[in-house]
Amino acid sequence: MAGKSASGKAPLESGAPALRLLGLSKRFGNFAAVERLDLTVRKGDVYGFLGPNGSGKSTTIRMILGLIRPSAGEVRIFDRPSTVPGARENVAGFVEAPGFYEYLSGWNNLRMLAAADGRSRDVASLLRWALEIVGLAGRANDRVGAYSQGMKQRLAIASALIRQPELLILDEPTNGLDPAGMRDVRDLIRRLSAEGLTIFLSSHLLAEVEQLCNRVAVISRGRLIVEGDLREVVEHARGRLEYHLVTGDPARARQLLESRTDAMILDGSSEGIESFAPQDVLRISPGEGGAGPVVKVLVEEGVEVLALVPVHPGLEETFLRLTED
Amino acid sequence: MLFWELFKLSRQRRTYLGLGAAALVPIIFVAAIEITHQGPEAGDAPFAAQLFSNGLVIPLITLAFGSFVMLPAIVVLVAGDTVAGEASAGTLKTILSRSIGRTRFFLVKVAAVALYTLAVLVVFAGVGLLAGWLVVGLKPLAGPDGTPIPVGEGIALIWACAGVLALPLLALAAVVVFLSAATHNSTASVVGGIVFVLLLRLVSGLGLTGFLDPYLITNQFDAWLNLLRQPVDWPPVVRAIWVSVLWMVGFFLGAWGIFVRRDILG
Repeated sequence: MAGKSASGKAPLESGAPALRLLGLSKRFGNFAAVERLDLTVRKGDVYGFLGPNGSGKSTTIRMILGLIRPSAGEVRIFDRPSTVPGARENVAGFVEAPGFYEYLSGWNNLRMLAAADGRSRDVASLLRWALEIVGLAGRANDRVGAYSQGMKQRLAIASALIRQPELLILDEPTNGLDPAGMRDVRDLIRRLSAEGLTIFLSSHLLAEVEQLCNRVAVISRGRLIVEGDLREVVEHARGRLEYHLVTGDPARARQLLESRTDAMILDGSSEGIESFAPQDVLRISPGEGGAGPVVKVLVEEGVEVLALVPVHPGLEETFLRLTED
Repeated sequence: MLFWELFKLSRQRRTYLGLGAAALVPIIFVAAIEITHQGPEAGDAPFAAQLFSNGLVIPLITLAFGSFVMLPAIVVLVAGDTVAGEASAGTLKTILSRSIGRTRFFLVKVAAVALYTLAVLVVFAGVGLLAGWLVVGLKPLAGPDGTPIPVGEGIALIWACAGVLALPLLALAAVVVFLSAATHNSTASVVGGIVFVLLLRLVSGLGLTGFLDPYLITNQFDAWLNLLRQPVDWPPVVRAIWVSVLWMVGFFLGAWGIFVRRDILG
């Protein structure tokens, strides 16, 4: 990172987590947007913050960035309470669709934000460096009003980078981008991580988080559902995938599964699968061993297996299932 | 940061709407009296009898008309946008995620609005004076009791009048900045500010305000006319100054209190 050693920031205590949320809560009237959220982002993590839209991700990020006041709990940044003046000096990021002065050029937007950071030296070279990284150098003098959604998204990343942060907070950074733009931003996140930045990345896309993150937290309706290493969390969730099972004898299949496997028969009607009547389709969750034991038991007992189709539920459903125990 | 705040103002259309109106109205007024040779009757406006013979009268008469609705409206137009415009454009969250403190950013915004208010007045009185000089010509003003007022003193008097008018306008700006910080809605703040002015004038005009009447902000807009008497009638001028300052400080502090605490959701 250009000029990082000259940035004059206090050295950070090594080993301290980059970000901790402790019992963080936000209520709007009677509505609990975020409830007793605890999570820890270690230094160097690319931390995926997953949840469906409306789950409280943006509210959490607003509290991290100091835009809204928690109703209870604490945000700690590099082991300092965020309420200490200057605690957010090493943090940069944005929340939801980035807001810029549309009537100013990208360059002037960044210059003004640098001024708001109190930076007066080497601003031009810093800006050029950041614009180069996000690939906007050629369009810096155009008005932001003429930028595409993807360009604004990249300008937002540039505006965060000129703070030369240790912790980068990105709220759905690939939102509104075309596939090539998404790939560019993901490559950029990998590069920044390789340079030692800690990145807190919110997303509602499981695939995106799988590609980029080493740790992940899932929230739903303002509550933490699970936090841990990516692999653990994803496999935990996958073990509870739903299957649609069609057999020659649904009643006997149900009885066998209930007595001989740890699969769960899910209630509620299925939308069915092509060419089978809905009443012949069993919705099952196969449990720890996956679908293998289910098929084995049915085949051994002579029940004809006509179809076993994994259902890929949306992220929300997959992770909500984690809360059922 | 003040530089950037002014730079932003300089790139917005509504800024020029206000400044342009402030420049245009005196020009239109001068053009109209030149063409029609009709103007306000003596008694309707300060020094109306000398309107066609002395350019010094032009800015005084335009100030008298401007201070009624136009200047307050121009101030409301820009002040209403201070916080609300940034909130609705999503730029407030961008700026407040940076190192600048909320108090400092608020002070910068308020300073820009104050400078804008003063600029509107300077343009309004300055263009009036310039137009009066170019079209009618300047000469010593015949004071109310017949004593002539030299041109230099006349010009100083015009700026003193504009200065006394600046205070209630700044107080009005503070009221509207308060609305802007409280509602985060530009239109509501602008409309609210104008309704506020009209409502105060209405209840005052209907005689409903009783002993509070001399302390209404809207009743300070013409206090500067007392500077034109001979001798100067100081008590209403002095009252306008402290009443305006009280309104200004009160709403400024209120707006600041809201601004530093309020959740930024936009």
